Amino acid sequence: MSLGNTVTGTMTFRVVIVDDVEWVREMLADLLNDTPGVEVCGSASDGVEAVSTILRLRPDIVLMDLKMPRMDGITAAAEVLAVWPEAKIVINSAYGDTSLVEQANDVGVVGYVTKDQRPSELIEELLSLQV
Amino acid sequence: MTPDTGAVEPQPKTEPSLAQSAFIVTGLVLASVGAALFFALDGRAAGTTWEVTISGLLIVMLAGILCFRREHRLGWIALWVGLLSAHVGGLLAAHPTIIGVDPTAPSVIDVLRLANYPLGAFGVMVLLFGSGRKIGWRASLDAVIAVTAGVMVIWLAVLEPLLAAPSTAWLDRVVGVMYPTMDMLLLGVLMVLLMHLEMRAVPLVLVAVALAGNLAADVAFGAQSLDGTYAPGGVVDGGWLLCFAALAVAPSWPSVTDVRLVGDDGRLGGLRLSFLGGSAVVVPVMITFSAARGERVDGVLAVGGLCLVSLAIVRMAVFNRDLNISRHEMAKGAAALSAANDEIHAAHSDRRRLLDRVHRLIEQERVHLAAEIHDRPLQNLAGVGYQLERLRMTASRGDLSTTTKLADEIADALATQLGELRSLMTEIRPPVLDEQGLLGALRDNAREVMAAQPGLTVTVDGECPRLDCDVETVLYRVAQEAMQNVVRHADADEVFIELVGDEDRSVLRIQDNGGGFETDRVDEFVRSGHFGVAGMRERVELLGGIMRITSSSSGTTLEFDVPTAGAVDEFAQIELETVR
Repeated sequence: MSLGNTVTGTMTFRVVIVDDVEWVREMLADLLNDTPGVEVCGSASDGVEAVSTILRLRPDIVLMDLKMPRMDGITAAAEVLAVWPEAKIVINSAYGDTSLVEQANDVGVVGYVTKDQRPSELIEELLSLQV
Repeated sequence: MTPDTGAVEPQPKTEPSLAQSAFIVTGLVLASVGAALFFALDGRAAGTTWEVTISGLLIVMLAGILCFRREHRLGWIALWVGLLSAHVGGLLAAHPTIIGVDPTAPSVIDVLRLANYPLGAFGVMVLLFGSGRKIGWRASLDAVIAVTAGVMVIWLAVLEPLLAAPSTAWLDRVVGVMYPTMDMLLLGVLMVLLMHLEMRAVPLVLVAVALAGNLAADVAFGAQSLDGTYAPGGVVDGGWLLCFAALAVAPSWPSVTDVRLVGDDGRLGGLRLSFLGGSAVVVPVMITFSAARGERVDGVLAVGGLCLVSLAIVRMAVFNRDLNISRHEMAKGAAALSAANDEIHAAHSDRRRLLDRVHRLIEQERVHLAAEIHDRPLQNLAGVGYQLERLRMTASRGDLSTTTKLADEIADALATQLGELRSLMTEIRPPVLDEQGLLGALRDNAREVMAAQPGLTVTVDGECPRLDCDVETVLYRVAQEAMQNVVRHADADEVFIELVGDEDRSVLRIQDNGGGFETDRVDEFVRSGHFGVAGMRERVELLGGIMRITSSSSGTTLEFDVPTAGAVDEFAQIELETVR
């Protein structure tokens, strides 16, 4: 499948942001939308909503929070990957415990960025997935 | 000198002082040397030795009484006067020319000798019961049994032959009968003494030895006199000498308190059982001997035997009743012990549950704090980080207006986050508690509760100085807990909180007009995992305070009464730290 669509002649990532804190979703969306080659195409505030949104929008990248109401990020990622194994999901969480990272890797996510890392590192991680 | 502090003295002195030792040794040496010389010599020399020895012993006894016996002195003096009287009687009998009487006929000598017995009996009774001590009726019954048996012996050995013997004059007969009668009195006193005796009461033991020696010597003298076999310097004189010697050293024996010790009235110790057993067989043995010698069974002996059997039956019944009472009391004691044990177990179990609950609450609080930090400052700071990255990007593009707008947004966001952090800090520990004290913190809490519960009016009133930090913290937490309970369970629309205190005590009262609850179910709440009320009580008790609850269908009042200065118990302080 296509990794993205063409905007002003360059490949553009379509990103879905999943986070239960609205303000964080907004700030991250503003940042990514300001980043060349990245477009936020949707968002979700919990794991259940995330699964339906992702499977409906089929974005190039998913930025997934871990701790959320109704369904946590790892469970949501597992459900998405079970239906759509090609999905590229990057965990973006405040938690960085080794066991959580291992658990996320076991599920099949492609990246894990903690929220205490600089936002530029998050963007670099996303751009590295372009290839 | 031995302190004379009475029966309440916890540790009676048992070691003699130097003066007491000197008196005791003097008495014993005098008695030993006197006895040795008396039994070794004959005739006039033996008589003189006897008179000097007895006089010396009487002096030792009087000195002991005057120096060491302040309490019950009347008893001791009576004993001493009795002995003196007997001794003077003996002196006059040995030297009849002094007053010109016939020593073989009834005279003032007999009066002096006989006076010894009632005086001695009076003295012993004063020593035994002079402090208002009650006479044990069981011990007295045992004494009566023993006396009855003894009287039978005296009757058969002395009195009966005396009465049967031909007499020339009625005065001779009266005087003759008076001696064994006085011996019966002596026997009665001895038995009462023995039945009440505690072996640690050494002075009383010595008195008992003296009475026993005197009695044995009298009976032997009576029997030998009747047979015409009495001779001075024999065992009879030994018994009398023993009597004088024991009484000479008794007053000097240490500890007045010991004199007051008496055995348990109902307890059948070895001594008492021996006397009762011996008494029970005395009459049958005498009757058996009479029968074996082919003599007629004496009527008095038969009646005495019947009395003894009747008394023994009564004593057995009393003993049986005492046993049943003891058994019943033991069963009651065991039941009470078992109930107390159950209570201790229940209390221990409650305490453990409560401590578990406290530890779980601490952990829950940490989980809550971690979640709060994750959900609020941490997320929000991440958002500020995203904004800063955008700021950097727009600045690098030279987009000044967007950069300025973003900078304003970041400043607003940081101000909001600072407010969030302050709110979190207030949740953890309200600064107003430290700055303005408990009343201020309670008013703030009341405002927050009213804001969250529009139908509820909370009034805070009172006048109280600043309290100890621990006390303020505990009272604030219990007030928070109480308010939560009101909101959750009470269905109240008014709460009145009052804090009053002085330098000594501080009282926090929280009164609502809700539906109330059954206060006797608090323990049941704990067992079913509801620790609110029990936790409040525990916190307050750790401070050395108390919690009072009154509740009815028209409302509940909780009152926390604590020492203003806080817990004085170091252990409680440590526990308080743990709980916090």
